[in-house]
Amino acid sequence: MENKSQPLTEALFYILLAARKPVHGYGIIQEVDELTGGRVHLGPGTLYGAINSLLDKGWIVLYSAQAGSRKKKEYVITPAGRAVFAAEMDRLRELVANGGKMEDLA
Amino acid sequence: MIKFKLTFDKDAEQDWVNSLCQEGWAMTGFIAGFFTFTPCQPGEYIYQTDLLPGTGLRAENFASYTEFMEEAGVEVVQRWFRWVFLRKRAEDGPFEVYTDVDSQLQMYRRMRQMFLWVLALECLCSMGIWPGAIMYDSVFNRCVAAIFVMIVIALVRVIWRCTKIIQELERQK
Repeated sequence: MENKSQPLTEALFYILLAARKPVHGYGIIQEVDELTGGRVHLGPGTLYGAINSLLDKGWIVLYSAQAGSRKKKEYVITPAGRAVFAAEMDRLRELVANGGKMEDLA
Repeated sequence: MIKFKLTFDKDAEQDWVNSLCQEGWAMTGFIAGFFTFTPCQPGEYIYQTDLLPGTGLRAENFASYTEFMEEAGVEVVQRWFRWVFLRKRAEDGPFEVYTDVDSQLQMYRRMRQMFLWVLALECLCSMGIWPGAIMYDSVFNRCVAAIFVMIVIALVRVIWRCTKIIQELERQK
């Protein structure tokens, strides 16, 4: 299991991003497809496992779960999820900044 | 059409169901090795098998799994204990349940754990037949013992296969 200090997998990163606003499962698949031009496609089993793992960690919560409602379940990021996402963004920025040094030698 | 095929190999079973769909037979049901098929357009569906999260043979949260899959446009064709058959219309695009190494690893670990549990249960249940099979010259006892041995061999093979796949996926990480 991931903890806060470990890099996020691409699947978790994009699910957290998609959940910046309330979104249902199929909406996450569609948005990630669009954002990555189809490079990252989330299979429904991968998404189901990842969503349950994020719910367990408290990084996302169920946004709409009215009993008997026909509306699809929606998920939204929590402050804890935003903190993890921000830490991951810092790590990625550092990676890109350091990666730029490759050109310095040329 | 009803066909019988008993295998513990999820991937081989999935390939077999998909090959029959290519021939115009859509799988509609499964119980204990018996598959039912109805005619369809050749290649109309893409089938995937999945192993539900759970303990032993008992699946957890099947209702929430089904709801999730249906919302994602996936039809849950049949469930048998923790085994699930899913399908999507081929015209809707490619269909793979697990698309990254982490989730594939989790699934194969889940499968290995379940088969280890079944193997342990199998060995425990077979303890009673060995004295009869060894000490008495009974054809019945020996046939029962032979069936148990065959099942154990099949289980060990699938556990071995899961382990090889898990090692390969871990190398890819």
